[in-house]
Amino acid sequence: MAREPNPNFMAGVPELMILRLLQEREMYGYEIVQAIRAETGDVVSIGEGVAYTVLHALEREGALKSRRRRVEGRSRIYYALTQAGLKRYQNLAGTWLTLARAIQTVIKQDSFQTFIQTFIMGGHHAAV
Amino acid sequence: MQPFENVREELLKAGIAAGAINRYVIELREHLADLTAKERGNGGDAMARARTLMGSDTQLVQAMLDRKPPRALSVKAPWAVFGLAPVVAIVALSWLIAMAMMRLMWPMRDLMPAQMPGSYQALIAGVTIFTGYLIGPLLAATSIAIALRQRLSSAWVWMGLVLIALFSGFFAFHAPDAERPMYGAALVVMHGGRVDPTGTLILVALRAGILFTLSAIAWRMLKARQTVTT
Repeated sequence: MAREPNPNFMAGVPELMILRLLQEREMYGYEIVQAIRAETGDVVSIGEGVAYTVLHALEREGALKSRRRRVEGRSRIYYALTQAGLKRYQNLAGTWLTLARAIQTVIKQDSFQTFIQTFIMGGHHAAV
Repeated sequence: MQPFENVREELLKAGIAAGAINRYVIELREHLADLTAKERGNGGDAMARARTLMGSDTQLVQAMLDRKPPRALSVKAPWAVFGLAPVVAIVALSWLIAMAMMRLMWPMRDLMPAQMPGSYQALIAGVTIFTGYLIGPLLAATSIAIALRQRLSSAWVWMGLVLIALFSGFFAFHAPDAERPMYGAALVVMHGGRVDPTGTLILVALRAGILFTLSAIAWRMLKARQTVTT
């Protein structure tokens, strides 16, 4: 079966991952998909064929550039980050970090309140 | 059939630019080859397993459409590709060629083509054939090729073939002769130094009719063959 794409709230994650990976070196599509899976421990997975639509869209927007390279007898299209892509990555990463921190705070508060309700208020109730 | 040909067909029918589709399909095939090589280690039908992992044709088509890929110009502006562009090409080419020939022949302006050196006569004959008999069919063939490539069956294709036939029936380089003493870019029939509107109309209608009939037959046949094969 085809790998299930991630849910809706993961929109924007493939771009972020791709831009992050390409910050280090130029890569081709298959390599990018495998690297995302490996680096996120399979938590984030881009559909095998879907990655190219993201790459092409980023290239159209000027965030990536591509070139055909022959490696080990096989011709492949390699993608590299542009200056605009680097800027976009920094903006995206900043937004995600802020968002993640905010969500984490909310979840921690929620966990704390649940803990209070379950163990302290619940215990007090039982004692009465 | 090569892998992902259905993806190509569906995207072409959706009006996506052929160049963008070609790139997508090439990369999908390369990815499939890599994935197949990886899956070989697991035994069984590695190719089939890899193809399944890539996602269904519908998913791959939808994934591309969701990213708003570039649309083909022939889909975005068929009036420009099939109507305006060939008409402008016919008029501009005929006029530019006529101007260039007039300038080239200026030192011999008092001579009729039959009195000129052989090389000039050959050039006049070549240019007359090119503008009179080749520009129209070449543009009609180009329009048909664009429409077939993009899987179009728009009314603009027919409209374009009519316009090409009409304009190339009228616009063509002509050298001076007994009736027409000037170089020109339009085929006007003259009698006794005066324009013959009926004769001109018949000549244009005849030329346009022949070109339109031939290009319409070619378009219908090739379109029918494409429909059968896809």
